[in-house]
Amino acid sequence: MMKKYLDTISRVQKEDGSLLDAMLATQEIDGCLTEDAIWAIGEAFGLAVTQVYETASFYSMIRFAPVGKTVIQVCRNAPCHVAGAQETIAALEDALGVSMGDTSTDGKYTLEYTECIGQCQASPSVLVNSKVHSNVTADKVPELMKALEKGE
Amino acid sequence: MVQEMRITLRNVGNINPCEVNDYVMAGGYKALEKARSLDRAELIAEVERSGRLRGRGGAGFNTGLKWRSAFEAEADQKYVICNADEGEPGTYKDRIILENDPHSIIEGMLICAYTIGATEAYIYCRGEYRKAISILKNAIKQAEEKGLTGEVHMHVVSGAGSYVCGEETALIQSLEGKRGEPRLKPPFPTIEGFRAKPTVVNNVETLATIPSIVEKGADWFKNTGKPGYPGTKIFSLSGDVKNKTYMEVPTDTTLRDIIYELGGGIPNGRKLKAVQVGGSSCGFLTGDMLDTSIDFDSMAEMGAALGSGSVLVIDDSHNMVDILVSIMEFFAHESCGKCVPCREGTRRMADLIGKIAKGEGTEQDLELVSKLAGYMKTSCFCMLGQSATTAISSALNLFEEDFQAKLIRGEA
Repeated sequence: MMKKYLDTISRVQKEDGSLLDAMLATQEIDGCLTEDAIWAIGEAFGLAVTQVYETASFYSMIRFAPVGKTVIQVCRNAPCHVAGAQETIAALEDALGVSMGDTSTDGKYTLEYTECIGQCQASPSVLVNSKVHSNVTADKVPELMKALEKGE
Repeated sequence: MVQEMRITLRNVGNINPCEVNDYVMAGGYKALEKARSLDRAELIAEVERSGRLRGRGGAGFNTGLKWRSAFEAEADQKYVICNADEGEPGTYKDRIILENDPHSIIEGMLICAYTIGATEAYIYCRGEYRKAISILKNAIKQAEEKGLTGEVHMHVVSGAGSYVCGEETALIQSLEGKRGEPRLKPPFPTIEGFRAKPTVVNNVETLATIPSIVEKGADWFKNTGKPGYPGTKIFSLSGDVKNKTYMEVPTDTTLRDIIYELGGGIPNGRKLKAVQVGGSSCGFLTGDMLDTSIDFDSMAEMGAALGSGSVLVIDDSHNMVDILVSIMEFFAHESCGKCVPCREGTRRMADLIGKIAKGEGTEQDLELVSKLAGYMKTSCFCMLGQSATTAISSALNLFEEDFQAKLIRGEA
């Protein structure tokens, strides 16, 4: 069980990665940082499990619960807000049938906020599985949905 | 007609960021060679003499002084850290450099490492900038293969979604594998930083400017822009402006020129209502305040701030309270929780502003907002909390009618 984590962690350590790098890489295995992964990281870095958890729980990009297959993150910071992010969020909630912060019952989509992703030249900005989508105003949501349904 | 002056962005769009030879062909790494032929103390004097290159991350601290402090500190190990944790809403200038000219940053770091006597150098890049991280890793590998890094070991480390880690001591905590909670200063990082050793933490833009200063000399640099904050500054425009883009201009350029000349003005026949320079932690300016030059001190005199150089333009279709909701939710989410005034204050403030925005607030709520803003400014542990309510205080000052329009009246 631990082996799959330890292999990933030792790869990160070989590349001189930090504790955060190890957490980010490990959570890609299951879509979130599992208890076993936390134990494995503790072992590899010589830290108590509580220390690993203490650090992990601080950072927004570290997850403790699985998410949908497609994670849609909408920036709601001031520049995106001015460009109409609230309307985009309402349109996405509508189209996905998911409220902000939730995952659809079929496990297909998770809708959540992201902090500023530095794409303010093309706001509102949306991330789909970490890929940037620019200028996603509410009227562009149907187009984005079509692409998502096609698996693009 | 105002024009851009590209010094730090000189290579952006002109070279392939994944090819070190492109950077070298464009004159790259000549400054490093020159620096390594100079005496260290002489080099610091040159950076200091640049008429004060001041940090481009937001705090505007004198870079030469930082280097001198770390240089003079005695230790068996010293560190150089590049702060690439660009998280201030509306700011994307560092991303442009990271993605388009990584070697200018690496060269700046190597010059700094030589100067202060460091052999370990880290780039702490925010986790959201995945593309930048892979470009940086490739660039470091190429620089190593060309023998440019010498005895300096360079590393790229990812952040994981925390705004406060842009604060240098929180960044160091994070780099040490801890929660990104700011440390008490002093001791300053140049004396006791990463792993308790002398550490210089410089912003991406600052480091990318260093090679030009070393190559062309301090006199050239200090004759550009405003004497108190010489050189150029990169701005990133967002919001209700025609050209949402980045630009590099001398520091004596006015905000009006940035918004109306280079930015093309306000679209859709709307009028300018407010400008927020420096990001969510800074105050607002109105249309009659734009003829000031954008250097650090002129902005401070106006009661505003240059900060990171982001320029959020807001037209007259918005009520400022709605924008403040977004700003306060941001701070409530990003408060690290170390100190009570910030942890509780940002949450309560976000709730109060949200209540007013929904049209459910009263005069008493507004009074509470004003009081709480004052308490937070004076009692929070670090700049995050101290500046979390700057935008609110500024909006109360300039746009009180926007709040009043949302309040429940006596008759309601």
